[in-house]
Amino acid sequence: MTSTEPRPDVALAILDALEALDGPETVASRRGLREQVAFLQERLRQVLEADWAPEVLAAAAVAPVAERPRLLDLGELERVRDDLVAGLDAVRAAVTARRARHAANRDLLERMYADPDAHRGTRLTTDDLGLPGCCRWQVSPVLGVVGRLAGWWRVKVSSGCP
Amino acid sequence: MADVSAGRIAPDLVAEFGELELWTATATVARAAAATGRERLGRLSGTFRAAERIRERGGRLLDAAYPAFERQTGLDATVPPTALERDAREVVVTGALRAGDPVVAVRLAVLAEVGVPLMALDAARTSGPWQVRATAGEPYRDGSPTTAGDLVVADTVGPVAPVVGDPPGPLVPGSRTREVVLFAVRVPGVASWEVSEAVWRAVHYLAGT
Repeated sequence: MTSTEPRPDVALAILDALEALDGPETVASRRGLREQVAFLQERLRQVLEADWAPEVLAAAAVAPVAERPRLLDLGELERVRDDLVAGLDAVRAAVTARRARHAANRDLLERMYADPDAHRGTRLTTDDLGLPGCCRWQVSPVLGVVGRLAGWWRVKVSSGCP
Repeated sequence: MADVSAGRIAPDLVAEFGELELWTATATVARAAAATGRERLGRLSGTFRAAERIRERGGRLLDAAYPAFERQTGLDATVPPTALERDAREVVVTGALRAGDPVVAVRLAVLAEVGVPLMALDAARTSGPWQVRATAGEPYRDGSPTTAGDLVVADTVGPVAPVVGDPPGPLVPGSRTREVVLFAVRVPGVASWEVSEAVWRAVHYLAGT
């Protein structure tokens, strides 16, 4: 005869235990992912140090996985790693765009020297050229108003940082 | 003089992160601490190469290991998690390190000198021993919520501060607070002595010695 008393739900108990299972291999997986995250973060730091610019830093920003610091699970850690990889790709694009802008500005500087009259008032800074310091190149008239009226223009180089 | 002591780290966090440590000290704020704090920040403003450090450390003032830890705990490391560090970055524009009250001045000085994020709590509102652990979802002392798994510094009653970031408002020491609990968390990649020395240094600064 079959009893109608409730019996322990073995299937759910096994599934619940499975959810709570956090074996050494799971911890090791998370630690491995954290090492990858630390490695990628260090690469990002090195790139930012080598080519520091606000737009490069902005490209490195990612949407945080958590509002507050928390113990992330495997899926969240994978997302952090993938976001960092995507961030590094965005940084590469920003650095490439910056390089292209610097190259274009160096060409412009050569044209300014070659033909100052065609580049009246054009100004470039060391930042525009990707150079350290605070020098400035500006096409300005020789002897002020006289040069302006006579069409005598030249590239004037500032003396650098104050 | 207060001793610097090691707090407890929950065993599951040791298994997860490895080299986590918590260093704490309860310090008395000397009456002259405000004036000496201003004087110290004035001296530091002349020697602190903030722009260089921000460039070297990917936009941050802390030791590079701290942003890595922030990433590992789900935060965006390009944004400083504390108001102190966000304000400190303004030194690049203003040229001067400034702080309103002595405790903030000391935290700022330690940040500039050793790059360790030092936190402070009002000693009247928390009592040790402190530990770093993951919450089960219990709220902070002021009722601010946490979610299960949040990493916090907790006392015997409950969470008092996140392990990274600013503590809840009511626990922050004010300008009239005479006794504060200082703490700093050592994360993987930072030498233990650097963090304990940072807390020790802050205790001495606050005591005016």
